[in-house]
This record gives sequence, C-alpha cells and structure tokens, in this order.
Amino acid sequence: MSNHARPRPLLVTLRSLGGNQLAIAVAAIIALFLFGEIISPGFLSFGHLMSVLRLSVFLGIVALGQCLVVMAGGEGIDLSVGSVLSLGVCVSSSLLLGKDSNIPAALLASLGAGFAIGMVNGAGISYVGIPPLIMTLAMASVVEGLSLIYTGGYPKGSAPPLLEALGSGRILDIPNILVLWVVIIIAATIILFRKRWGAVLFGVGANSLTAELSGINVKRFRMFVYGISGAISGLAGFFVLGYTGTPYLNLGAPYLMTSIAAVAIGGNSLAGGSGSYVGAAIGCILLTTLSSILVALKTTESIRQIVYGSLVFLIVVAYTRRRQD
Amino acid sequence: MSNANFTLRAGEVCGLVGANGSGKTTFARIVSGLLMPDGGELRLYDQPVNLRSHLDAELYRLAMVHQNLSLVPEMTIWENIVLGREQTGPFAFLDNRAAIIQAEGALDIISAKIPVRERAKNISPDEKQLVEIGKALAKDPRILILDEPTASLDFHQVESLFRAIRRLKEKGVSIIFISHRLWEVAKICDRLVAFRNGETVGELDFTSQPRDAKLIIPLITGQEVREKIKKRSNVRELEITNQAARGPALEMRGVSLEGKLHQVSFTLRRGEILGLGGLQGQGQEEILMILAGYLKGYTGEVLVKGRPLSLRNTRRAIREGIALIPGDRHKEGLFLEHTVLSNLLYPKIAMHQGSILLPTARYQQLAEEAVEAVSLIPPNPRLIVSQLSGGNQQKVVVGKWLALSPDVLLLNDPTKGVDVGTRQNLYTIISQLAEKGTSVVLYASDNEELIDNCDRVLIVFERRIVKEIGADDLNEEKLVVSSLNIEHSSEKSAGIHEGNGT
Amino acid sequence: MKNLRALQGILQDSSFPSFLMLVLLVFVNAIIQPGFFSFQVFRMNFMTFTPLILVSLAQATVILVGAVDLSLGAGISLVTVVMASLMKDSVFSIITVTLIGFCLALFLSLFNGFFFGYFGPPSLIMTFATSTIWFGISLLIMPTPGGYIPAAYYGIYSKTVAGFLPVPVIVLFVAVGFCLLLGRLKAFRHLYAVGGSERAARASGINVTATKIFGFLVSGVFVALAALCVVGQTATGDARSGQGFTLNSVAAAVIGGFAFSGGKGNYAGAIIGGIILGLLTNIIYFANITSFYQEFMKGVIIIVALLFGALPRLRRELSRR
Repeated sequence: MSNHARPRPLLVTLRSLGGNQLAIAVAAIIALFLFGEIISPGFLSFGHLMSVLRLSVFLGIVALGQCLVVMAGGEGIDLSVGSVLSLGVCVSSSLLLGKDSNIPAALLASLGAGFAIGMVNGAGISYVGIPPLIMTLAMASVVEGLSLIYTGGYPKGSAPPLLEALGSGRILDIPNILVLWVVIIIAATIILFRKRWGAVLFGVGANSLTAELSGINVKRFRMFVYGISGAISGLAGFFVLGYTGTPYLNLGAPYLMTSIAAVAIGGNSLAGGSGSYVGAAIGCILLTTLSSILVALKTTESIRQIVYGSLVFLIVVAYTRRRQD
Repeated sequence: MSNANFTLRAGEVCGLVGANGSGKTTFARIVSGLLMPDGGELRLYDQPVNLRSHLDAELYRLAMVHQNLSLVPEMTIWENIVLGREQTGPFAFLDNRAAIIQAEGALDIISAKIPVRERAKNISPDEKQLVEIGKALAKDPRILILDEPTASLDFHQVESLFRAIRRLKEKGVSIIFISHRLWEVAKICDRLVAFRNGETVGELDFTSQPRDAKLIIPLITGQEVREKIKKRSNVRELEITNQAARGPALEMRGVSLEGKLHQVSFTLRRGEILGLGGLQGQGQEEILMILAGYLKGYTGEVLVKGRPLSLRNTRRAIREGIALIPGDRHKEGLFLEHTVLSNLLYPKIAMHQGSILLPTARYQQLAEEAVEAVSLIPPNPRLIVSQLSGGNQQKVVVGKWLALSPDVLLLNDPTKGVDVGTRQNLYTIISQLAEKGTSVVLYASDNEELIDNCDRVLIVFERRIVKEIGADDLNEEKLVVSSLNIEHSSEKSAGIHEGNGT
Repeated sequence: MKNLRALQGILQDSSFPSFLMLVLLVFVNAIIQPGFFSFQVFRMNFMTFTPLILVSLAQATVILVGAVDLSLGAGISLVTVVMASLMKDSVFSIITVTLIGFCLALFLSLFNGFFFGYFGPPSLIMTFATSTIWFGISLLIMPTPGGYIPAAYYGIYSKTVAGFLPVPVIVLFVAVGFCLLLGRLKAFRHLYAVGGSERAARASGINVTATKIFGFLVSGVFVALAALCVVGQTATGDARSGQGFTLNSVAAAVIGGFAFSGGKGNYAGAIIGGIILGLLTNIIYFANITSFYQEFMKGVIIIVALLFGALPRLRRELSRR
C-alpha cells in the first residue's frame, strides 16, 4: 500500500475525498446518463438533469446524517432516518397548513422532533450499550407508529408557497433546493475537515479509546451525533414536503437503504473514522440516476426492486474487493 | 530482508536479536510458512522445503508462538489451545475430554497454573502469553519459534519458561528465541544471531564467550557500547529537593478501587521520575488510569498541585496538565489509518476551547516541532501511522502530548516491544522533560528500565504499595524481592540467585 | 451461605434477565390471552411461535460469525411464493415442492454466505440489498398474495401427534435436536472462533471463508424449516409475509445474548429470545391495542426489553461512580 506524497489541502484526514472510488462513481453516473439518453431521448437534457439532481438533494440531506453517524464509528448506523423523515413530513405539514407564516414553527418542530428522537437513539446506544443496528431499527418502528398516532392515519395540511418554491422552484433553471444542497455540501466539508468538531469526529470514529484518552467524552459526543442525524432527517422531511406539496405517510421509506448505500459508495468505511460527505453526495446522485433510468424504462415495481437491489449488491461487493487490494 | 543466514542445530536454543525493522519477525514468518521468500533456500532437517502456508510448516512439526496474542476471548483456554486441531471421535463429534487433557498437559510443561475451563478473556495478559506458548507446545513440535515470548511475563513466569525450554532441549526440541530482552537471551540461549537491516551481521556463541548481554548490543546497533550513564545523580536529587518547596506535583491519599486498589497513598515530587514496579497486573495500570481521569468510581483523594480534585473525566485530567502514554499503542494510543500529523495534533485539537477554524500553518508547524522532538524516522508528518515501525509509532504516541506541555507525564509500560534504539530515544526525551520540571510516573515491567531511569520506585503488590525503594538502593535483586513481597532473608535470596544464575 | 452465593451467581448471570423477562411475559400473556394454559391456545401459540423461533436461530447463527442477515424475512416470503405457485394436490407434488422450497431457502442463505465469505462486504448492507432482490422476485412471481397450498400440506401443521404434541412443537424438537448435533461438530466450534477473533482463527489454521459459509448454511437450514412452517400456517404465497421476521429475529438474538461482534451466545438464548418476541407480539395483539399503536408499542417494548437485558451490566457500571 503506497502513501501519496502529493500535498493534501486538508489538515486532518486520511484520504482526500475518496480518490479512485469517486472517479469510478462519477464515471458510472456519466455512463448511466448516456445509457438513459439512448433508451429515452431527452434524458440527457438540461431540464431532466436538473430534475434528477433535484431528487438527489433530498436523499443527499438524509445521507449527511447517515454519513456522520457512520463516521463516528462504533458500528454506527441509523436505520431510523426514513421514519424520522416521514415524521418530519407529517409534523411540518400539520403545522404549516399552507401558510408561509408558519414556516419557522414547522421548521423548528421537525428539527426538534428529529433531534429528540436522535438523542434517544444516541442515549440508548452510548449509555445503555444497545447496538446501533437494533436500537435504530426498533426506534424506526416506534417513530413509524408515532407518525400514525400523530396523524391518525390521515396526514393533514400542506406546504406553503414559499416552501414549495424552495422544493420545486428554480433560479435561472437551476432548482433552488440544489443550490441549498451545494451550500450544505460546502459547509459540511468545511466543518469536517477544517473545524475542530470534524477532527474530533474522525478521531472518535478511528479509535474511540484513543479519543477518550485525549480528553473527549466519547459517549456524549456520539449521542449528539445521533441527535444531529435525527435533526437532519427531520429537516429533510420538511424539504420533501416542499417538493410534494401535500403530505403522505411513509414518504421516508425509500431513503433508508439508499442513504446507507450512498454512504458506502462514497468511500466511507462503515467502521468509521474516514471518508467524506462529498463522496456520499456523489453516491446519492448515482443512485438517483439509476432510479430515474428504471422509471424511464417503465419497469414494474418488482423489476425495479430487483435491479436496484442487484446493483447495490454489486457495488457493495465490488467496492469491498477494491478495499482489500 | 536481503541476505539472511541462519542455522539452527538440533537440540539447541538459538537466539535472534536485532532492532525493530531488522527483519526478525519477517524471518520468523518465513520459517513458519506465513510468508514466501523471494530468493534463497529454506531447509528443514537438512531437506530443502517450500512452505506455502503455516499448515505446511506444521506438517514439519514446526510451531511458532506469535508476538501478538491470538486467543479467542469468549472461548475457554482448552478450546483455544486445541483450536484448529480438535480431535474428533465417533460420528466426527468433538472429543472434549481428550482436548482438556491435552491442554492441561501442555500448560504443565511450562508449569502454568491456569484453570483450563476459564474463558480466555478472564485471564491476565501474562497468563494469556503462557496459554499461547502452551498452544504451540500442544502441537508437540520439534522446532519451536518463540517471538518475544516473555514480553508480558514476570520474573517467576520467565523462570518457569526457561525451565521448560531446558526440558524441551533435553527432549531434542530445537528452539529459536527472538527477543529484545538481551539479558534473557544471554541467559537461555546457546548461540545467537544478530540481524540488522535485513541481513545477518554477527553471531555469538555462549559456549565460548561469557553470557554478557553487553556483548550483544554492538552487534545490533553496530556501534560501540556506550557506558550507560546513570541518569540519576546527586545533582538531580538536589534539584528535586529544591523543587520540593513548591509542593508536590501529585498526591494520592488512601485511594481504593473495588477489587483493584487498596489504600494507595504516595507523593509525586516535582521534576522527579517515580517508578511503579512489581509483578504485572498488581494495580499499577489502575493507578495510572485513575490519574488520567479514565477510571472512575474510586474512593480516596487525589491532589494535583496541592488541590484535591475529582478527576471525573479525561478532559479534567488533561486540563490539569496530566498526560497518559498508554500501554497498548494500537488499541489505546493511535489512529492507525490517520496521518502522523493527525495523530500528533489530536489532543491539542481535542482540548481546544471553541470551534474556530484551524489555522493550517500553525498546526503544521506544531506537528513538525513534535516530529523533530521525538526524532521520528522518517520525519514526514504526512505518513500514515500504520506504516511506521513499532518504535516510531511509539514516538508518535509520546509526541502528541508534547504540544500540550504536560506537568505530569504518566507512562504505562511505554517500551514494550520497542527496540533498543527507540527505547534510548524515548528515555532521553523523558529525562529531558524531567529536567525541565515535568514530573513523571513510570510503570515499566522491565526492571532494567526502572533502575536506569527512576529516582524512586514504588513496588505494588496485590493492590497495595508495599515498598518504596530509593535511588541508592535501586538494583535488580531488591526489585525482584520486593515484587514478590518476600522478606529479605539470606536463604530466600540464595534461592532466587540460583535462578538468576550467572 | 453457599446457597446464597449460588443464588447471587445466578442473579448476576448475563442470561438471567432474559429468563426473568420470559417468566414475566408468560405471566402477562396468561392474563391477557384467554385460555392461555389450555391446550388449544398452547397449540395455536406455537403455530405462530415456531417460525419466529426458527428464524431467531437462523439470525443467531449468522450473528455468531460476525454478520447480520436482513434478508431472512424476504427469503421466507420468496419461498412461500414459489411453493404456493408450484404445489398441486398429488402427494408427489407436495413432497417435491416441499423439497424445492427447502433447497431454495438453503440456496438463498448460501448466496449471501458465499459472497460474505469470499468478498467480505459489510453484511448489513449486502443483505439489505439481497432482501430487496428477493422481494422483487417475489413480487414478480406473485404480485398479490395467492397461490395454492393443498389442505394435505397445511393440515399437517395444525395436527397434533399422540394427543399432546402439536406438529409445530415437533418441528421445534427437530430443531433443538439439530442444535445439539451441531454443538458437537468441529465446524460449529469454529464458528465461535471466527466470530470471536478472526485473526486467532486464521492463525490456528481454520479456513475462515469456509466457516463463514458454513454459518450461513446452518442458518439456511433453520430458515428453510421456518419457511415450511409459514407455508403450513398461512397456506398462501405472499411477498410481504416475511417482513415482520427481520426485526424480530435480530431483537430475539440480541435479547438472547448474542453480540454483533460475533463469537458469543448460545442457542438456548436464541430460543428464549424467540419465545420472548413471540409472547410480546401476542400481548400486543391481544391487548386490543389499535393498529396505529401496534408498531409503536412493538418498538418501544423491544427497546425496553433490551434495556432490561442490559441492566446487570449497567448496574455494575453505575456502582463504580
């Protein structure tokens, strides 16, 4: 294993933003788009490209929370992101009721609810010692139930014009939410690689005992990371509502597995301690593009599930292979 | 490894010495079949062989005791000993009774009194080492390779091991003894071979030369033996007494920890190097961990610079200027896949108040200073730590605390598995720090280190401090006797000397 | 005095909370479910419990080698769909299709096991992917629940042998027998070694890849039995029938003392865990909780159960403050 002597722009990371793996992912995206153009002309048009990117944003935001949880190590994973997103949708819409003036309240509520749920996850994982997989899996059921209870089965309300503009609107043909995502990506990258919090995170993920001996309260830190992931998922729900306009139950379900896949594709070791959000973001675009192709092929749900699953399977297996070389 | 020659004669114990990175472990791995050589010839029993795996080697009745412990924690000791070679009876069912007998037999050879039904995770590190040795012995080998087998063992256990080695010799087993502990090599080996930079550079035959560890050093380092300058001197003692007016750096009063420590009290004077000695696992580590703020739930008082403090977490301890160099650098001290830079700066970043942007240039500078201060080889902060040698890795572990200028440095057996050159390096750094006023608590399992570097040594035995040995009294015999908590008497000491035999 | 010490030993043993939980749940269940101790109810309960216990054993085995299999549920669904599509009334058909179903379940587990063993991808996401694939295939074969299972087949499942042994219980006995047999095999002990410390296992000459695949194979046997039971119980093919098994099997294994790191736990714990989950599901069903609250309660109760299970360790840690 060689170590590159080229100067790295970032201070405390291991590999700069993923290297080869990401190049392949980007190549795959381009290949998919070309393929899409062949089977469905107009696929490669600017408008459609923007649509696909817009769709990626929501997954991308969810993937940020997942990314942080994975980076924090300790076999971190958050299987509740999907249901928290759904809850975020329901909570937001019921508070917004189509009025712009309600936006602050709705935003705070979805962030707050998500954060609270995340903290419960974090507490159970850090302090009670319940493995993340099962804690968040069980919590997912709880939150799903919460959504049902809260809405009584019929989610009410709708998105106000301003939020819809954010979710579905464009500036100069570029979706607003995409601009927001770019901002988020930049901010996340700065925090991860330039700020103390990010450096601490990578250490905690790489070796929690060493981090503890360096003065970090690892349990508390990890708990907050789960809290943040929850808040981010809640926020994603808020934005998704802006896209759909009206709320539905279980809007978050498809985001769970894809967020994990995106994080893995993005070069983040599922053991934590290394990786980047940029990689995960590219992973999100790849997966959304794939999804878009499947839709363009007018496949039934069954075929879509099979293709999607097979591709994620191949990617995961191939990437691990690569790691071992 | 480029030009290694080695001959092992039947029924002899041949030592293999060399600095870290000299090729000893590579050699061991080639001979045991874990690694394929690029060129040259390997002959077993005078036949050229081509080993493709360690199972091949085992067919030639060659067994190796690894440096890194490889026991399955949740399995019992007997299960571990027979692992991979389990005997089966009718219907291919496991024959547990035979396995237990075999395990007990193997441990008997080294007189290790360890209950074989105990789970591996519940025994102490030295017992684990003995089980590893037992595992190799259970294979009834004709060639036995021991790679740092005494790293975790105390004096008693080493003696048992040596007795077993002598018995095996009588049975015709040939043994390769790889070790950093030169005086042990001098004691038990018939011959030794020295490696440097992957080549064989010399041999010593103890049948024709005195068993003096000092003779070995020049072979390893290629330099003349430096007369060891006693670090302690009257000057130092005077310094410390002068500093005493400012009060002690650290004090423990009546500290007890359930099952681990009982009424531990001592004072650490400013600028002194206080040693913690005694057999392994008597509580020394716990003392250090409490001072580092990692272990909680103790009763009693800890005073830092005269103020009683509750060291509830590591952050508190670090803020008080206490830094811990942990014992197991892989598990406790390093981010293996991160850069040297990242590792060196972590405590500084972690302790930093506020979340302002990190000015890269400043951190770069600090990192370079640290790299220089510990003489890291190669001095490149962008290297990934897992690629450094063990000794250099340990330098990183030490170096990362330098940026914080600690008042108290706690060392948990810092030179385990580290070569002579790095060892001297580290102790130079430590004594320099002590001269500048840092107080040091050093726990070393190696009595030589305690003798060479400490101003005083406290012996810990079964959770208590049983003796304090001052600078004038510090010698191997005294340390050993106190470690075993035996009253010094002429008969007893004669008995010990017999084992010590020169 | 010695008795007191022994009692203390039992109270502090790590599987004691699970046992206590079991007793508690039996008690609650008895209150809530009418006629709990009657034979009829006993038989009916075990018709539901048995597949769950079997899947818990399957999951436990996979966790033992340091993996997790989130595709167990979808695998079962796929087997039900295939069997319900193929089975006809003739004895020949019943036997053949049963064999096909059994082998299919084995194959699905081996598929996961093979890739896990040879390539070593993170099992969580890999099995998540395969579960999607199995689900897709099930949907393809049978978009809506249906198919045909002859009464001759599902009738067996509700029969009672010798007047007091319901068939599901017999299946459990077979499973337990299989467990006991396994425990005496070399390859099985190697599962613990590989899960406990892969490095140590390799250093001892164990073929780690083969052992991992073996783990999935054993898991496949349990899953196969479970699938056959589910078909016997529901008599339909349903792409979604296996959904509940995933969380339940993982929870059951964790409650039963299996650690995700691998190499720890025993089958008795998995069985207790499976029974506990079965009782929990029962309680929720019979407590007349509205369907809205069911998912919620299930999740909450599982978390509480895990908390309960972690109590001895927590108590130890807290007492050191």
